[in-house]
Amino acid sequence: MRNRKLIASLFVYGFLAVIVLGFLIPIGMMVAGSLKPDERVLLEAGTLRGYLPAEMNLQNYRDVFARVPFMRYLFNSVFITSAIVVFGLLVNSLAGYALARMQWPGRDRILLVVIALMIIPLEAIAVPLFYEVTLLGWRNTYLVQIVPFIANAFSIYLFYTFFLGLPRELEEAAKIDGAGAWRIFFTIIVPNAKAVFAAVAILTFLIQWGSFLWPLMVTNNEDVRPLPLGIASFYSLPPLQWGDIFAFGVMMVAPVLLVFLVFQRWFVKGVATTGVKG
Amino acid sequence: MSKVAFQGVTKRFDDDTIALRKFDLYIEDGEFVVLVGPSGCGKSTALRLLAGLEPVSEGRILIDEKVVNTVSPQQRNIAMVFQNYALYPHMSVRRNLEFPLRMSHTPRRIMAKKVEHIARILDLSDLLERKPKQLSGGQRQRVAMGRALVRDPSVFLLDEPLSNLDAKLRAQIRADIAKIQNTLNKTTLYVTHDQVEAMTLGDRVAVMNAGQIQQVDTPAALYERPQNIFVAKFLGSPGMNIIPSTMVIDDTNKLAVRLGNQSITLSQDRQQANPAITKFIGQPILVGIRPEAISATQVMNSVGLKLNILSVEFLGHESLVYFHCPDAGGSEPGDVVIARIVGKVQSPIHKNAEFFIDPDAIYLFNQEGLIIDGP
Repeated sequence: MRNRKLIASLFVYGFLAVIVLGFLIPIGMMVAGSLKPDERVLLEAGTLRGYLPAEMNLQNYRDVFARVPFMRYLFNSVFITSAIVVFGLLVNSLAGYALARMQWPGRDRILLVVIALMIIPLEAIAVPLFYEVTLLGWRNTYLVQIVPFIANAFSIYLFYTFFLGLPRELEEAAKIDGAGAWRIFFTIIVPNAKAVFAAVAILTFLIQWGSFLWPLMVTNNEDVRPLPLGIASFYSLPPLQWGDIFAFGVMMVAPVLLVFLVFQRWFVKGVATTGVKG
Repeated sequence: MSKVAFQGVTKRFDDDTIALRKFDLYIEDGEFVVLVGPSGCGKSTALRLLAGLEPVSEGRILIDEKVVNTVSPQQRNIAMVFQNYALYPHMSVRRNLEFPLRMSHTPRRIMAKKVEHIARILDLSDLLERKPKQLSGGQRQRVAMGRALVRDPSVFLLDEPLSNLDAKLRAQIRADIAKIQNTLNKTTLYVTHDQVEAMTLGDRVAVMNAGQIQQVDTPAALYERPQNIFVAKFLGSPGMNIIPSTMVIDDTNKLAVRLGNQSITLSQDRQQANPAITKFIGQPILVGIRPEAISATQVMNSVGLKLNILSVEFLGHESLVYFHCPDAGGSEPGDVVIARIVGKVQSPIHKNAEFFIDPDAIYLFNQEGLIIDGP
């Protein structure tokens, strides 16, 4: 009996280990590759030596800064993503709150529309959207990379389900104490919804940080292009130097890891609604 | 100084369930009224309508003779204590107490003074910097009371404020509420399902069932003069025994009620005081007897009755004795009559034990459950 349990858990852990390796191998290869001379990157790929950055140096990183305007890309990505996250939190949380807690005609239908919108991918609407922003004259701007992504059905839905679960009495108590709708939202609801704000922030950040197709369609100027287009530019800058690409990749992934480390405490943490109910 | 009136208030929810039906209630200035009833009887709905948390479907609600049907909760100057307290979890006790004052733009100096004052009354002075989750149930309850009292509301609403506390704490806070009410004299509507709270706290008590008020009166009057079977059974612990019976003229040519094959003769005075009862002669009626009106020994003019004991519960200072219902047909099988007997009842289970009932303590109800005559 005990043996069987042991074998079962060995099997489970073995399976998990394979999955983890599947995710770690490319990252390890990228980090190692970024630290060695270009000509050895492809040569050693697929061998165990590929993961040992012999003759380590930072030449590839220096090359990246010399060959492409990395700081410009980084600034663009940070600016665009932050703007989407900040405005997205505001807009989507308000929408989620209105759907979860307020009485207004057509609410249930709008909720259905929001849920339906979740399954439509950007690729499906990219062309008409492209046409629209062209008419607006927004191409080659930050605006075109920010505005279409602020309102997000999935974020709204996350906020909606969270607000449904908050004790209604908190709002009713605040109402009776004399607070209006805006004040209730910002002084009672938001402080008790940190977990969902963090979750939405981190999800939005991750998705937008890797955004490629849309910026490629609507920009052709390096001044407003984000990091994913920066990395792509190496393919059009011969010779193809994998070391540089890996170095760029490491610098592009680092902020994502940083954001996750900062927010994961909130991300993982459950909802604290203590203070209600003895 | 505030009066409250519900005038023919009906509350219908979206799914067409009716929570309140033509509800009328008047609360005098400074009066403490308790709404009591079984769960789902609409008592909390009445409170929420008064608070403005739900819209009224029909009828009017007045505060100080002004109709407030369309006035928002913010504008009604009411305060409410919720069953689960609804303290703001992210704010300290001080911030919680300050919140209603901030909303009314109270100057900082006055706000601090008021918070200190209310904290002193409720013994919260040492807890002001704590968060709600660091407080015990009783302390949270006091903070909730404090938050309601701090801004001097015109009407004070409490929704089952004691139901989350253990029995001992409940008794203590019940006494505190009574004390606070005596000093502040606020117009108060208090909702509970607990008849002890209702009887001890209320100046008047409104007993509710199925969205309607059954009777509103002082606690003593409700107990002594219930208007119908619901009130009679709801108040008292255990509630009044209701036994199907028939009114007859007995061998001595006096008015009597039959209980099974026995009968209890009613005193001549009752017939004289209420001649109308004679029209029920020969008709089925319902007899109400309080458990405490049945005794094991003969006193004054009480009448002996042979009863079959089912079981006895000894509670220390008294015993609850369960009998087969001695009716003349009409009761459900398994119906019991309960007696509260002071002290210990010997020989628990046997047939034909003799117990005594004072005929003047008997209530008579008609088939619809409305009172015909009482002591």
